[in-house]
Amino acid sequence: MLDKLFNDKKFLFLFSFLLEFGSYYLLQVTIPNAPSFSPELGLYPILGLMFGPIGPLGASVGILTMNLYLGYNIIASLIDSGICFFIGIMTYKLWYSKIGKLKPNIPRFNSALSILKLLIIMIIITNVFFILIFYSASYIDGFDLAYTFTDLIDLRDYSLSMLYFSLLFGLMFISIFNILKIPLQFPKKWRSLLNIDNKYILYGFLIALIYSILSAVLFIYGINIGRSYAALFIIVSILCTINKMDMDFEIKNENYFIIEYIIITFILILVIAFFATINDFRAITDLLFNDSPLEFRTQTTLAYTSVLILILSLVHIHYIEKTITNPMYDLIDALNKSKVEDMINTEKVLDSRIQGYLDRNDDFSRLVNSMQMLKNNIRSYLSQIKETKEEKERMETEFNVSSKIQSNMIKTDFDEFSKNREFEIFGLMNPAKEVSGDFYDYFNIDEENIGFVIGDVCGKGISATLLMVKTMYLIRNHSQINENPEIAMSEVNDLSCERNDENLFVTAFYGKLNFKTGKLTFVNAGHNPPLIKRNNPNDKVMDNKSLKTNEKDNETLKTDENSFEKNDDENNFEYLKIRPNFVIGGMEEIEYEKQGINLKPGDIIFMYSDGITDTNNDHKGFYGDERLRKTLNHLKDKSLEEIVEGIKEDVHLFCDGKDQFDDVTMLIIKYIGCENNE
Amino acid sequence: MNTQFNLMILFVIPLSLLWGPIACISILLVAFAYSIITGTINPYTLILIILTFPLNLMVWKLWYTILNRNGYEIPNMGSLYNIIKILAIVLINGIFILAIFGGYVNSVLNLNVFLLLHLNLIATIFMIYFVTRFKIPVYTPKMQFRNIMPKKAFTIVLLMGTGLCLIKLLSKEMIFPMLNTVLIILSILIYYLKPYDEEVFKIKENYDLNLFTKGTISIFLVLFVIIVIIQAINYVLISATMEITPFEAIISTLKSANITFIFFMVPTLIYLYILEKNVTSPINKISETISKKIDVREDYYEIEKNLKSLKINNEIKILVDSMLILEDKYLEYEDNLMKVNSEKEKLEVELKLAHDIQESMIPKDFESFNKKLENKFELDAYLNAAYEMAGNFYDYFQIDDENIGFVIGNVDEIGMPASLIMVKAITLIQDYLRYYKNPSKVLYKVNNILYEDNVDNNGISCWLAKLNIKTGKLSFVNAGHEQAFIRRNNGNFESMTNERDDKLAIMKNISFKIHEMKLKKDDVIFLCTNGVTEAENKAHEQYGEERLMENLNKHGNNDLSLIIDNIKDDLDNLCNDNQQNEDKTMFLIRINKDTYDKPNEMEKQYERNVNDKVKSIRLIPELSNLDTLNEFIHDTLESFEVDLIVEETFVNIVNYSICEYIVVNVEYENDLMAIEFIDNGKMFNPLSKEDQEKPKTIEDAEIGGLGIMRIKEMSDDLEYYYTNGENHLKIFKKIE
Amino acid sequence: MNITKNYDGKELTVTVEGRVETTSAKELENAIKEEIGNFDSLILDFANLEYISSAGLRVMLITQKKLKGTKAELTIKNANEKIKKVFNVTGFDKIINIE
Repeated sequence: MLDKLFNDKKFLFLFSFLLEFGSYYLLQVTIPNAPSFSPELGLYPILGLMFGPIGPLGASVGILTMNLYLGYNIIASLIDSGICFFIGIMTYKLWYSKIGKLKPNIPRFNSALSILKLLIIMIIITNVFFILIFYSASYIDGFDLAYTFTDLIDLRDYSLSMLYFSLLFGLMFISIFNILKIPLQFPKKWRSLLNIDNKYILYGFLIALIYSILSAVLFIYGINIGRSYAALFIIVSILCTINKMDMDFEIKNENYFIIEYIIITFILILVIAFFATINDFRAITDLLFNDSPLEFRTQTTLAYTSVLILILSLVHIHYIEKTITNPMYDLIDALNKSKVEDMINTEKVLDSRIQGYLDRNDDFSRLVNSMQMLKNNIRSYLSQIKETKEEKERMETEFNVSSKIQSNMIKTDFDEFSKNREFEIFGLMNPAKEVSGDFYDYFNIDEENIGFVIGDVCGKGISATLLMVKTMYLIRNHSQINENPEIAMSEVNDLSCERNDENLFVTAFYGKLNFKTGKLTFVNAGHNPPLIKRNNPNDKVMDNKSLKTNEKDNETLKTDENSFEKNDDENNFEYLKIRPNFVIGGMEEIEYEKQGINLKPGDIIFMYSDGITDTNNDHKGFYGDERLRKTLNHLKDKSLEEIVEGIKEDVHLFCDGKDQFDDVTMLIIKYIGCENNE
Repeated sequence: MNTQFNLMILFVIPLSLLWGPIACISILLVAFAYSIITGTINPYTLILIILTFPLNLMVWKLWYTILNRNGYEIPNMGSLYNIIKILAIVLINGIFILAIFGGYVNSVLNLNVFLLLHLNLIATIFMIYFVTRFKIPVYTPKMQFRNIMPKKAFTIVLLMGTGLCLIKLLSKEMIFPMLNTVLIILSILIYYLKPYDEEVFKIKENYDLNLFTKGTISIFLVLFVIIVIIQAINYVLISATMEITPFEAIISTLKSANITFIFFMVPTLIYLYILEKNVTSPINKISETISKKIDVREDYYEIEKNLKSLKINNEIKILVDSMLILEDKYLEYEDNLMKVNSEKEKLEVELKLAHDIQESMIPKDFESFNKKLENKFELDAYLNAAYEMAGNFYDYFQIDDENIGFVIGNVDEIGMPASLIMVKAITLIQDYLRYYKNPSKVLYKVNNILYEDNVDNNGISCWLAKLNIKTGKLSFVNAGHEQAFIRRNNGNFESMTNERDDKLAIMKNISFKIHEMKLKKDDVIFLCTNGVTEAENKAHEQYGEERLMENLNKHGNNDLSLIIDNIKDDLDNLCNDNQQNEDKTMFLIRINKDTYDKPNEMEKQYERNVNDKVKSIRLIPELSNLDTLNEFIHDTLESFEVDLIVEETFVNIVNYSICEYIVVNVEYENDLMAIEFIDNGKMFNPLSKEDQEKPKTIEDAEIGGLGIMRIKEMSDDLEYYYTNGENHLKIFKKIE
Repeated sequence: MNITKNYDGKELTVTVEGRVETTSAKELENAIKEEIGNFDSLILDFANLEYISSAGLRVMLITQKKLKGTKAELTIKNANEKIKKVFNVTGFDKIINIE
């Protein structure tokens, strides 16, 4: 609410008016004859500095009103208020002048520098005021009624009030406004008639300053060059005021107010110091300058008292800045600017600024050090994460590529393989992970015979895949070379035991099918028995005695009438009862028994790996042989591919959609037969 | 005496505060000595001097018995509380001193000590600052007192003492002045017996300057300067304007300075309070909170909690917020790292398992293998995978009684995918070589199989050899392998890879050239993969073939394992810890026993039957003999027309018939030429094959035989019979 | 999976409960490996064993191979039907004694 008020021009006008009027009244009317104590003078420049032209306008109107009220000469009053206005505008202009690269900013006394700037400006302003008043008093009648100056020194005292009180009010009010977040007015446009580089004006002031000191000194010795000095000064001042203004301000939107608190309190101390010491200083001045007029002595006292206090305070504030507030703000600033997300990038900004604070021996440096440490740890984590991710991705890629390689090794050219031949074949190998230890294979042995196998290496994942590759190719090679499956299997077993310190084994079911005659010879090495569906329900799913190896291949199989397995009248899938052999790769020199069966056209043999039957659902238990058989029978009339897919679906259903537990492999062959089959 | 005495008091208080009994005793002795020297010693002064001990010590005792806000500390100005505490102590002490000494000296001096109070305070503050700044050790209480009465009682005694002092100071006439003084002294002594809090003995000397201290020092410096100036000015003033002794002038100065000081203290304390509350205390709090030692994750949560509970309302809050964000991020990243780590580890575990299995598949039974074959040779090998799984391979195995096979290879990939291909290659190569016994044929078949499955277009370099351990005949094929070296006749190692065929799995149906040589005793063959020659250090300098050869030549006479070790060391020297990206394999074989020549084997590759009509040549079934056959045909027939047929038939027999010899009989009569191919391989009647479509897979091609068709096409007539274990294929053609 | 060992003189009974899968098989292998040489006869009590995977069978194989040549014998007791079937189908009942 206050900020709205203080943005309103009318309010500002009124405020300035009342303030000026009120203080004039209070201090001049109620305490007369104290020209050296004119606090209301301090308001001229400060109102201008804080509120822009409007402030001095209101103030000057206030003065005018007061002067008229007091019955002073109208011209004098006008000039008086005019001087007030000019002082205000000039202060405003001076503050916001850009000198070289230094950009002015909205008054904030959070550093020694800004206080110094105020001081310098006020010295200049005071001088201007002095000159203006002096010449007005000299040349304008009635002016000196307003100000009863007995001599120059009186005038000087009067002017010095402006210096002191403008400093005081400036520091206090502006700081209070900043704390209360009441905005100060800054120039938004400035119509100017003149366009000179500000540095020339600066030079002008410097010359004038030197000149003024000179004239003061000379004055003591009785030489008066005041007039020329005054003229120079006024000219420079006017030039300065009407010069262009570079609207190039630093409008920082900072929310840092601690320093203002500190400054204000400190100023309080200064004020107290001032009042506490003034008597002493006055006494000593009296002592030293016994002969000088009272005012001179007073002003001198004030002068060196103020100088002393000012120096001390600047030193102190500078020290506080350097040790406390600057580092703090630096850190806060840097933290504001740096986002944690791209910490690694913005770090350099942060680091360079706070580098200097790491080694100090106070709690601030501990703070900074802890922050640094934390940031370093974060950085280290980030890079570790990156590294680990890369490692992980490398490994994942290996798994993925291997998966492709393995699936390529497993044949899928079912149609081509069985084309124009008396059988159909389909297979599926689904690894539980990227790679598996399961496999199936099929290949030609000669013009009448094909070989097929389904196998399962113990274990899961890549550990099993290595042996899977070896076994699959060994079985393929030796079955093609060796006519007798049981000998081939024995050879494969011995080779698999070689260099197998880890004692890995493979279960496999190998079959050799003569697709001209339908005779199927098989060796089961520890694998779960396949299911057979007979086309003709009268054909039994039989268990045959093993054939001796010296029997010739072309003989038909002898059947053993006593070992039938009972089956339904319907032609369903039933488990083939076979005598199991030991696994492959377990021990050397194992003998494998081969067995045989005669397939008739339409007969189907379904082989699978135990990944299906061992699938476990915590509520329902294992998938099991029965369910497999039942599901198979539901699908028995479908195409081979549909059967396999159907089983896969059912397993998936059984798992409630959870991840596959084990490798799932199936191989299914249907014997179609040809016309001249017996 | 009084002057000096009083002036001494200026530094007495800070010294006593900091160094307690030690300082007090020293001061005592100094005062004593001084008074002896100046001759002012008398019973009075003696008592006074002795009395200074407990009085001065009181400051020290008071400091360590009044609790600080943050526990007991050595004297410091770290907070406003401490400053006020120091003030209070000095004040109380001053009261006591005044009460005791004031009564016995000139009343003019009554206010002396009190007047010096401000200087005392400033001196104390500066001394404390120096001690802290320059880390000068102070003296903390070492002796504990027994608990003779409750703690509060001691405090009451002290307060009573203070009361008595005040009474004495403020009342004009003293009732029982002597008693009073004694009581006062007694109260001090009793208070001195107050036991310390146990914490006091555990004080850690903390020389940290915190921000508050710095601010305080600065402002007190300012005050000090102001006061000194004021005092100076006043002194000048008074001396000049009034007629008083310098001494009185000083008193007067001090008086006014004191008042000024009091004026200043209040706003100064307010100033310090604001400084502390808004700036230094929050920063200190934050600093302490986050400086706590962090050992475990829980410490972070603790710090977070503490940070959040800090009540800071101004812009310093940003520091807190930033710290909290940082901590959050830290914890988040830590979690993230743990998660990614565990994911990685899962994969790693599996790869390690597979590594172990692959390791066990790689043959290392060198000694027993050598022994099994009567140590006619020795071999050694080394394989080191770059990552967990290797794509390099080597193998050695017995083919039959006389022959062994050995091979080295390198799959283009690395890691797991390579290891799968490697297992496949090794299984096939070993199996085939044992069966077909012909390295060229083996690679021909293996190449085609690998070609079919080649997913990523990865080639496999391979160097395969068959060695007859009796005759020393080495037959080898090189499928794109670059690193094979041989040392013969005890000379230097030379490269064996000048002629190479393509790598495996890149193209189909490659005919690999067989190279043959006879090895003698002490000949050494060294095989390795490019992981050895291309091993590099961080500056990308490679090991290179030259350096390898150098090393080999240098150590060529050593044991095989030493040769390998030397090369390994050499590699280590170059590569240091640079991560290697290639598997490294080395294989060495050395012939130990003399070999001999088998006359049949090596000499005549063919013989010509001297017969009018039929010319005959007997060949070993190797593709490299095709040239010999062609030459023979040309010589006999003087015609090139039958080249194709001859080539086709010969290649077919070599490739598909497992035979030991091929005899080619050529008859020419009139226009008719008859070429008879006789081999003792598997019975195979090409005439029984029907014409077939072009086969799709290599297996079909094997059985069907595209070549057969062509032979049929190109020839006029074909005859086939099988007798005595031999295939006879007779090709008839009319030629000009 | 739970493993308990019990010595009765030189006869070690190892009771295995739960399921032996790829992950737990290693534990079982180590448990038996530790005791090699300490017993004359090893009995594996599978009364409460629900399921044994191929990894578990491998442990059986390794154990049996290790005991070959020593006088120690391996016997499996109280296996349920399913487990017995597994041993039967894989032919492991030919190399290991199952009661």
